[in-house]
Amino acid sequence: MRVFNREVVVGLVLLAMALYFASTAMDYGLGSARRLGPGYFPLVVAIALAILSAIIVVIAARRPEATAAPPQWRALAAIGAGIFLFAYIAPRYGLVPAVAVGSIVTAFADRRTTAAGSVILSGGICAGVVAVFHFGLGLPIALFRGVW
Amino acid sequence: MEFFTVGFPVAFSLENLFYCFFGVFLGTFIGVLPGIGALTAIAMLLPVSFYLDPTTGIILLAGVYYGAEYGGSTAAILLNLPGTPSNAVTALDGYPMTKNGRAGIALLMTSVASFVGGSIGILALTFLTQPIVSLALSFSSAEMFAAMTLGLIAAATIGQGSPIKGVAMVLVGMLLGSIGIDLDTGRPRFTFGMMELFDGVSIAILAMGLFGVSELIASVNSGGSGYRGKITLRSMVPSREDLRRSFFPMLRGAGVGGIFGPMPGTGPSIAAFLSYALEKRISRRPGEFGKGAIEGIAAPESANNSAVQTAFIPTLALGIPGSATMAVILGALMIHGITPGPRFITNHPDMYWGLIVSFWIGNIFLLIINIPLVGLWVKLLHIPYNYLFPAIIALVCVGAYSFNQNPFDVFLLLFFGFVGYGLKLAGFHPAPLLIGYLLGPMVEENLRRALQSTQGDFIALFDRPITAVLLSLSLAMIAWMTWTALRPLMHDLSKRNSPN
Repeated sequence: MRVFNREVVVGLVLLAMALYFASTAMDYGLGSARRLGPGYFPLVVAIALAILSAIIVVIAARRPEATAAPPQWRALAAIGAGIFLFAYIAPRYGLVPAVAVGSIVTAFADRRTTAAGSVILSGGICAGVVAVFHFGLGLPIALFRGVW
Repeated sequence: MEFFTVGFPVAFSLENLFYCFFGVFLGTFIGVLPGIGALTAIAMLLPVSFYLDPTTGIILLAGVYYGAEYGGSTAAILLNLPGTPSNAVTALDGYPMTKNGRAGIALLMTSVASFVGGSIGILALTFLTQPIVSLALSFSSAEMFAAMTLGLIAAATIGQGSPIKGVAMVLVGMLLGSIGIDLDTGRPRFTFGMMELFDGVSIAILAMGLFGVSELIASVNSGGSGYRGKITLRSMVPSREDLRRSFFPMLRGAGVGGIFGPMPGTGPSIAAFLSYALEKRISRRPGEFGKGAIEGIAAPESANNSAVQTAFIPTLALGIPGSATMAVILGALMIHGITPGPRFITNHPDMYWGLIVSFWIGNIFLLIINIPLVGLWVKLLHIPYNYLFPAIIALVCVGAYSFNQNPFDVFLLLFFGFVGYGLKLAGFHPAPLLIGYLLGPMVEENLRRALQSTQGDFIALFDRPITAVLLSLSLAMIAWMTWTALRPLMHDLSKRNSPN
């Protein structure tokens, strides 16, 4: 019997979250039944979650893991890095560089992506984003910033 | 009468016509592509809808929702890959029809069935909403609390996957919903000291992360092969026999959809599945099902479209969303400062009737873009997925960044994307989380008000008949959930304790 599987991990994370929210909610004041304080409702919800996640962990640990899809590490890394770079670049250098770099990196989530293909694709996406958000919706975000 | 006097001028404005068409077109597009669901598309468009007039924004989002039900059948029929989960049943008989060389007829009949189901659903929406509203207007906060609790628990326990995980997801959503300043006392809660969280977690960020980003991570490298055939208009002409055999299944499908659409937790997928099961059971030729029976595509396609339209009944009449998609649409309303609930229609008749008229317009648009343009959608299946997903990621990022021009929102999006993917890997469905997130604060508010009026007496909440029934049903569902969760455990234990 394998005790440590994905369900157990998620169940434990939920349990930790429930305990954190419950202990924090206590500090907010429970109020009285007539006038509930800000901590009362989150505390009740967090306790319920703690009980359920404990049950989930116990049940999941007692049975073998259901055959699940393997994690897509490549997609996870490329999309994660792409979004991170977007968030890092956008406030510093503007929208267009952020979309350009983000798209190039994101494109490599797919095994078939080639370097040239990702650059061309990224150019197209930049044009589309500028057309929709800048000209279409009139979004007040600087397209370029800093360097110029 | 308001349908014509109030709804027509709103829905037929140039802007609303344009966004209705854009919505259903995009919905069909998203529906045709396997791997991206309507919820992802709606979450993606949420930032765009903030820049529009609220009515226009909702017309757009709703159009994507029901448009995806039309488009979803295309890939199910041609490739055996359902475009949205509610079209999975359509593949059972739709794909065999393709193999029998009847793909054209299958595509035509699903469009017709979708239109029939959609129309009957809109009629139900038009005539059932008002009576529910008049009932709900007499609700006090105790009854609203009870109705929302039942809605939440039903959404979590009836949907896909294990009920106990569903309820856990609802609770997580409720905790996330309590992040931010407590409206009653002004005290910030669970902000982790971050200023950005004082207004709470935005529903757009949460939905785009949990569904958009995580779904893309999961589906990037799962693309199948495209359909290589061609569909001509001539091949779509059904025989008299096809029409005769589809007629009653479509009507029954619309009925099944009308029943399960408004119920929390069920929605289009379950409606489609049940209507298929019903047709198979009452058919005189059950052996033909699974081998290309036309009833097997007509009934579920009618059912899921009817369910999609009737899902708006509880959403608009009570402000209680039955599915994550409805929760996102309600969230869009709330961002525009509109309070959902029994007073919504009285306060915003132009929006309500405009929306209903736009549903008719949208369904007619869909009939037009699905039948003559079917060749275009078939070609769309040739587009490799790797051209699309970076564009979607870029759209989601720019959308998140556009709220406050704060990179924090984009990092939060990434965080929820990873959370959603992790949950998916462990077999947790994030949809109930979103419903809990949206309803949690409303449940809390109504509970507080109800307890104020009963002077803090919890038992008095059960005094009113409607409250008593709704809360007892909720308790029964929790009991059922606990039992189904613990049964295998008990079984194990009793085996271990027995002598051998």
